[in-house]
Amino acid sequence: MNANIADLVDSRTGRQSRAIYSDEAIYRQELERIFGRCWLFLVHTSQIPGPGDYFRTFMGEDDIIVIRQKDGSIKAFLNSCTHRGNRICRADRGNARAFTCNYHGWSFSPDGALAGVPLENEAYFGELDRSKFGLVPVTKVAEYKGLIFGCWDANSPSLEDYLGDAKFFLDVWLDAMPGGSALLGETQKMVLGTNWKLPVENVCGDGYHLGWAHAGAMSAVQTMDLTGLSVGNSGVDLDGGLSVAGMNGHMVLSALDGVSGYAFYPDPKPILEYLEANRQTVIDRLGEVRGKQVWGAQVNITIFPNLQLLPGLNWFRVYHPKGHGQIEQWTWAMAENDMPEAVKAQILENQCLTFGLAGLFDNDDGDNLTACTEQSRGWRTAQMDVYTNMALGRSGKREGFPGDIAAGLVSEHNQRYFYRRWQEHMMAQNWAEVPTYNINSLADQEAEHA
Amino acid sequence: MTDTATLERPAVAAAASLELTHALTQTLYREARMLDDENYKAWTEMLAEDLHYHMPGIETRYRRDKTDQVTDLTRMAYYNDSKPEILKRLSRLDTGTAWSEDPATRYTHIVTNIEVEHTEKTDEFRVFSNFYAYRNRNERDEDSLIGNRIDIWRQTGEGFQLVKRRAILKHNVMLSKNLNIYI
Repeated sequence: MNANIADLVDSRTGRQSRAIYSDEAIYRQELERIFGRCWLFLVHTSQIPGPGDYFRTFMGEDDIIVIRQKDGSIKAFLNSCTHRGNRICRADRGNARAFTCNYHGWSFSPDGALAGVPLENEAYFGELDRSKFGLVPVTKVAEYKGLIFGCWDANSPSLEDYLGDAKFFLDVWLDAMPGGSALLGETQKMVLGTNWKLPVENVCGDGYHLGWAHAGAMSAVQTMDLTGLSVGNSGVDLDGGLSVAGMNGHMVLSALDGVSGYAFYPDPKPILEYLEANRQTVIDRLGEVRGKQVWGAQVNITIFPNLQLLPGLNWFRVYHPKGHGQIEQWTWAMAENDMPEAVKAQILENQCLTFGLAGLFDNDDGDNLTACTEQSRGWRTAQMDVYTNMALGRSGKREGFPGDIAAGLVSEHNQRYFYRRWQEHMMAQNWAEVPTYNINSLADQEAEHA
Repeated sequence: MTDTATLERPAVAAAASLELTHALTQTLYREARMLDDENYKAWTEMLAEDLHYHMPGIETRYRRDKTDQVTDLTRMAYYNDSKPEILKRLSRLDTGTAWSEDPATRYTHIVTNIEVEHTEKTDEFRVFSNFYAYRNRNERDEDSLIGNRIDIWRQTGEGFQLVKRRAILKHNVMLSKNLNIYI
């Protein structure tokens, strides 16, 4: 399989074989080598604030319960009874003192211990060793400033090392304001008949599709400039933004104007007032580059493999694979806790209008991503390639930013790094074989100056 | 919001006359026909200026969880729109560049289980109905959206206008790739 994987992606020329979207054997290997190995987003701490609060999610295709403990820590378990495998929790979220299986009544406490077994003495004759039948915990659970991640691989790097220099950009949401961050609203879940990599690719680097695929939506709601991107792709300002990659497989698109995250808000005034009232605070906390240029700007952050968050547009999304040609796309709205309630309400409302299930932009993407997947399934199309070969070799260092950086939001630089990371994981037998790189790390840049 | 009638049904509500029930039933059927035909100009003329159009998202919760997922407007919704927002959505279709709407989606709206009641406002009526909205697109894309609606319709000089609508879908995971539909 590895020889095959080596041929399927060429990140120097920006070529991918369409088989990576349609071959079921490749998908099975992704579940093992990507979803079974990488740190995966589980929950934001704001979604399970109190003891006993739980949230159900997925790691790959595995059903997971994440639950806040009495001591405030967070644990995660497979949502599967250790007796006969039944699902022990059926709700999306809630609060529980125990999870009791509907099948035979085994019950598990929030720390995963098997707490009760009906007829334990009468029918098991007191011979069941309960300590061996606790819920199966996710191997590692860790937090980065409110984001809880889980990982199945005991040999993975720490979450902080895994995130690497992407933390520089994550902090623009998680740590810009003293009150921190929150996810708002229930989960908007949607089935898409697409391979999971295609929506990730779409948001991680593809500013090119915005002015074309979303021309109608942009005409309907755009109120401010976004790096010169125009309806019908008639122009672009490559100096107005950055495509940042080379950070352990994580990618960022960022405008540099400090306001354009709200370009698709029909009435951005209340949010612009919030930004201006607090900008100095953010500059004090994160410095001039992030405080002035990035906070408030259109920023697309992709954490490999399946998490995307767009501070500004304020949507936060995870793609759960559901077979080689299907995903569930889960979306929440993002906010800073210091935002006035009226601004939070506006963010929720704007999500309905733009990137919710009925959002104008999502209407366009769903159609394109499903069709790209379908056009990889034919006998002939499965043998064909697709390309992310825009602006090859035009990247480098930018003062004040980490990463290998190409100019502008319209470039296919980030997608090439995404597929490069995909290939690195798919070819590696274990974490030791997965390369770690934080190109142009700010720590190294400072050392150079010193 | 208001000096308009509430969607919440009082303990005792007065059923409307046969004549009024017939008039509003015909109004709902006409509205469904406008939506099937994508005649959004005629449809939006049926919407009051102070419209609130709400379609909450529904999570799966245990019965003991009393979280209000339906009427709490600070929660997530698929639609939580005023009339200007509806018009903004529709303006996308007029740009000629909403590529994903061409070829057109084929819609059928079926409206049933209509009940009409008087409200605390003499010119506003509470109308319960169920809907079955069918979509078919391209070659094989199809889905069925089924649920309940509660509306407030206002009698005006130019016929009835929709003032409030709460449409409750039954989905948890939406089994299709978008909601390019009004219900």
